[in-house]
Amino acid sequence: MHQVLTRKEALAYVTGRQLGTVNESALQPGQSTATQEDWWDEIEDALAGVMETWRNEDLTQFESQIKRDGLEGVLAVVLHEGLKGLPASVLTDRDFWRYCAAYMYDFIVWRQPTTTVSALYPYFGVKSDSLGAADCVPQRMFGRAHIVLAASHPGEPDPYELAKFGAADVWISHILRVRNSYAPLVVRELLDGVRDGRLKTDTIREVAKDLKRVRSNVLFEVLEAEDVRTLMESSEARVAARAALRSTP
Amino acid sequence: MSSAIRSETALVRPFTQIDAADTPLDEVRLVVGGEGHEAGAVVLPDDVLRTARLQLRLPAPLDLRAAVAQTVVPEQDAALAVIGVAKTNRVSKVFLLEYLKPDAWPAELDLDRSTADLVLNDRQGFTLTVAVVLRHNLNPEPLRPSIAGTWLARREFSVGPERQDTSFSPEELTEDVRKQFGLREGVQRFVFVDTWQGVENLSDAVRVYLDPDTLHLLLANLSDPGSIQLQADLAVYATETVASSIARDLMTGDDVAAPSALDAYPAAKRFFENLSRRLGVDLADVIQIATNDPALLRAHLEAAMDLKTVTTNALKEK
Repeated sequence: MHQVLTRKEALAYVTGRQLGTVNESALQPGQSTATQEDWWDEIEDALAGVMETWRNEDLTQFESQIKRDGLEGVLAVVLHEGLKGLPASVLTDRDFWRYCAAYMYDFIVWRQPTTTVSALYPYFGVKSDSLGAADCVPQRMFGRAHIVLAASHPGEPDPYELAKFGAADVWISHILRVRNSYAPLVVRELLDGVRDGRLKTDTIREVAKDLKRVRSNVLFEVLEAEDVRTLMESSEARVAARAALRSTP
Repeated sequence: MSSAIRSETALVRPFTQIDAADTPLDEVRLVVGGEGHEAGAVVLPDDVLRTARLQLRLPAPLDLRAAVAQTVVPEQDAALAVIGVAKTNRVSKVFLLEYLKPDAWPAELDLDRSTADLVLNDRQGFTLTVAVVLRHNLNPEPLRPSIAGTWLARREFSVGPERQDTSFSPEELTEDVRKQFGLREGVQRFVFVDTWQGVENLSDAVRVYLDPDTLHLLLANLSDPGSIQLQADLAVYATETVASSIARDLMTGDDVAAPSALDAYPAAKRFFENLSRRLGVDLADVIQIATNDPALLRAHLEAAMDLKTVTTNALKEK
């Protein structure tokens, strides 16, 4: 048993909260019986943990989008640690993610400030029947932490470390929306480069384009860490060579 | 002013003499509850998708080795890979990655659901790729694969639950919808194409809105010539909008996408392939027209959907 909110219910809740016609008490999840086990309390605890962590922060310290994304990364780890033991029957249920998003309403409107109600819909997974892996906030947070954990080395002091720094554009444009997301070791190399400052915004955009071309012929999922390093070095070298060619008078 | 140079993107496979590796993969089957399925879309009832035993029938390692020996890739450097990718979450699982050695894998490989819960038990389904790959980097030689992970041959199974095929059912263009999309008063119809890249079925990403009064009249008189004409016109409009929208999204810079760009998006690929068949126009040309010349696409659609006849019938009804 787990909590669910249909798209219609979630849409009504988000719209009502935004227009000020309903408050938190209007969030009344349905019960899915797709699983025999009872996951209700685990889910409630995980979501409460995320919101409590967020509320305990001094939010005046997170004015820029990059800082807000960094905090989203920290909360992604809290969420993942709370949900990672749940079965696929819960974690692949779109209405479960809609419930999570509605529960996290206050965080999401802080994280994704918008001027219109409808602009919020993708972040709550209610814009269409599909969720959009880079849009629905709790699902993208879960994915972010899950990918980083999958790419971690045994014995690493903090296997989630690469999820925790602000890199929203990289996550959305170059990881979650594209097939790189299925190759954790490639993601690790990209994030390492961004964190270390080797891959600046312009560079990573070109590297991502180059990787897309390579991906047509190469299955990233089967690569070992050493192969991925070689792949990235080649890609960065090609990008640098093209940039040099363009700047040649 | 448009550029005098027209360019297109295409899948470049700068290799030669690797075709022999493809033939043994013809016999690959996904066996679901004892029933074999060829590569491509595998649509299953929910309970079967959820519970059935999953196996892959694979070519024998030595047969594959013999086939690869006929290519430019040394057979000892090739491997067979089986990769599963979930549709809901960004999760993948490598089920098999083995050199082409005797007994490297069984004739029927069991896909154990418990080892890949988020992939094989995904309610929205999963994609399985069976591929002959280069296992490690080789010294570059002209026209020979040299990067580890390069596939020499592959088959894909897109496994998903049963659902209605693509259909764009009109909904009421309410006041909320009007405000949401900033539409002025008097708009009769509007097509919204949402993020379509991850959807199993395009209808999940497409909303067709019609003025409420018009929609009610339409639904009340579905077989009237006027209604039939409106339905056909709406179908042309929606199809044109969806095709153009996807084609533009697929562009790389100013370049029209090649058909291979659709490979990563089964729902869009199905849509364009159907369109190509229906219009009798080559797939690459359909994408090109949808990108650069929606008016021509509309003309093709009107002919294919016989808008002339239904319009004539509607006018004769007066």
